[in-house]
Amino acid sequence: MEKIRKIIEQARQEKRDFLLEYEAEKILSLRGIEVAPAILAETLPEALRAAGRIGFPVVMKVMSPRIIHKSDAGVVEVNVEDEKKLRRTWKKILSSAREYDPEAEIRGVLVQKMLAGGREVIVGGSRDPQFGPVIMFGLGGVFVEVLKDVVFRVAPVSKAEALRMIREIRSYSILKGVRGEKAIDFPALASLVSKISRLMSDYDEISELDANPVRVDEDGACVLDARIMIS
Amino acid sequence: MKHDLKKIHSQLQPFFRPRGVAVIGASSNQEKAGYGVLKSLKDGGVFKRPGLRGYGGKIYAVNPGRKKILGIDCYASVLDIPGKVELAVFCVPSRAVPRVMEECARKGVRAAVIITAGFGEAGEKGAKLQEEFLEIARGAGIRIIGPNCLGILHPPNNLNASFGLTLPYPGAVAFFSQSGALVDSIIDWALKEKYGFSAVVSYGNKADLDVPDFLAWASQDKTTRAIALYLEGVTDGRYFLSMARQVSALKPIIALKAGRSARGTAAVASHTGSLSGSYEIYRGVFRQSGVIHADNLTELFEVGQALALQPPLAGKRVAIVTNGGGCGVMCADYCQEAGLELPEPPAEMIERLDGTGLMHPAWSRSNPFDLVGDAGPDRYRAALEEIMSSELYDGVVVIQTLQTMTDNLGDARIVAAMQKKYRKPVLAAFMGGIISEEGIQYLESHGIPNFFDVKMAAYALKALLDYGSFRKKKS
Repeated sequence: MEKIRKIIEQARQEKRDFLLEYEAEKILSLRGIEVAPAILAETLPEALRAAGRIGFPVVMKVMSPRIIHKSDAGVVEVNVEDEKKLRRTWKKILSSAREYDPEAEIRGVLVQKMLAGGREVIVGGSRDPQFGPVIMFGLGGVFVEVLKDVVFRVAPVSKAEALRMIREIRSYSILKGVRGEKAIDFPALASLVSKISRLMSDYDEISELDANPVRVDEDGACVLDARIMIS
Repeated sequence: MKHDLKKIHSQLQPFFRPRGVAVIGASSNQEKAGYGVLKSLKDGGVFKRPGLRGYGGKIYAVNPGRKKILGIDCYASVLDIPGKVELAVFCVPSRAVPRVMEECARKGVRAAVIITAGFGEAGEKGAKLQEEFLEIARGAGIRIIGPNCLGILHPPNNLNASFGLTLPYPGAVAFFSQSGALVDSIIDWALKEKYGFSAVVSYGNKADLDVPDFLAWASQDKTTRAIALYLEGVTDGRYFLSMARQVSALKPIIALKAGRSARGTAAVASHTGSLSGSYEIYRGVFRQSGVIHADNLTELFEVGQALALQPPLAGKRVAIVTNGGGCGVMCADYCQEAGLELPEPPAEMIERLDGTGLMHPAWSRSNPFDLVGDAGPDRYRAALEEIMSSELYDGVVVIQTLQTMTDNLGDARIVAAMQKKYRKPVLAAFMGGIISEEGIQYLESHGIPNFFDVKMAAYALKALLDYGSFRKKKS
């Protein structure tokens, strides 16, 4: 509890209305939600050590209070396979960041384990003027963007209710597995949805939350990127 | 949180079964609501229909300038009325409402319907007036419907405390509507369709009573077997959610939510925020509370009727019985789209049916059970006996297309008798109009909902299944 409030308080003192990815992911992991292993590196040698500990390939993302939409700013690089590529990426994404906003304060580069395969879903939270905290679930990518294939519930939800939510999306059969794929780990995903819903109902300070994408496969669910807006 | 449904029901009873009703601001001017309400109380409605009657209890008019209106004694103030007044219907201008409320408080009035507009929806001055009369009402324990509403209609005891056209026929569905204008049109439609209501309430600005309170009342009302809602928005979302969840465990609720294109207004920076339209959230809330979602008015009332009249589906396996192949196929399509299953009849069942000597040699021997165009009541009976006594099917749709040899009343009798015998959900799709009217009326007066469109029948089955699943989950 205290640790989470401290992270939020810190952001507030810096007059930010959002948390940096590593702060958001720290909160999720404090709530028992599985997050892709990541280390914040302030220097290139630190980044190299981090990748060594986590294991290649990695994802690298610039962390700056001035950059909330990281992909738009070109400060994310996936599938960094080795040390050579890491050095090149370090330069590239940091210069993108400076190009995007020369004033940007850079906290470092988040070096995160690259997890491939599985299926990507989105789990989110927001606040409704009538119903208070609500939780959303949908399949990631085009399913959310184009088809708007998402379902909502008022938070918090139990694991059983979360499971009903997951079964409600139109593209549910994709999670059950098509063309020989195995079904995803439904209990793990339902548990993640339920935990995020409780986070939303326990912390009024969190106005919006996106865990996007969350990677799910037959043995687990893991958050790859998270965004938390605070009020 | 558990709500005290009985307590809310008893608080609201004076609206539905008042001992003494006063129309405050009664008028002899036919253009005014004060005339329409008094006329409706006295005669059941401004518009006549066969069998229409007025309220049997005491009715009083309040208007300082008159001795009698429509033959009803008129008083200068509610305080001058000699008898008990439990329900007051306000038709006075908005600025007079706080003073009249004060008098009602002194008179011991329990319930107030405020027809008058010009409060919360009309800017600061109106909002202040609303706060004023609410405070008086709260102090005196008076509950309020409105302001800015049509009023309340309770067909079981011929109470029409509204300026709605006329009382609809009594029935099993309670309808609560945020829109007053919609209520008028629905009543007119319901008269033509012989569709009945246990209560109709237009609740307007919901300054005091809101949908959850009416849900609580309906859950304890003996005539109501299903609840239909037309919603634009609720004031206290969490109250709605917890009440709907509690009431759904007792009686089915179906709701139509207007405003599906409206998006959340707050500036949003996340995916979730941009997708959190209020309509999508309401759909989630309905799911969470066992409320059946209606896509349009036809669904609201037709599926609502099925929920009122038929037991919930225990499982998703259904049978279709038909005398027309194409209609059976259409119905099967819609059932499958809705997630229902159509198990094939086992060989023994087919053998037994063949052995009756009643079947046409070309009958389908599969589900849909196509009994062929010349099917008569005996053939329908044979098939329904087999289907409804079997553990294999949770419910059935009986389709009848009209052929020259079709005995539509005879078929209707069989369908009603089979439902009564086996108590499983049965929906009818006697497809037709004038010529099949006798059979359709027989079905409806014997508790079998009939659908012209097999698609609506499939939706109704799905609603009975969803409601059944929610009930199972709650128990």
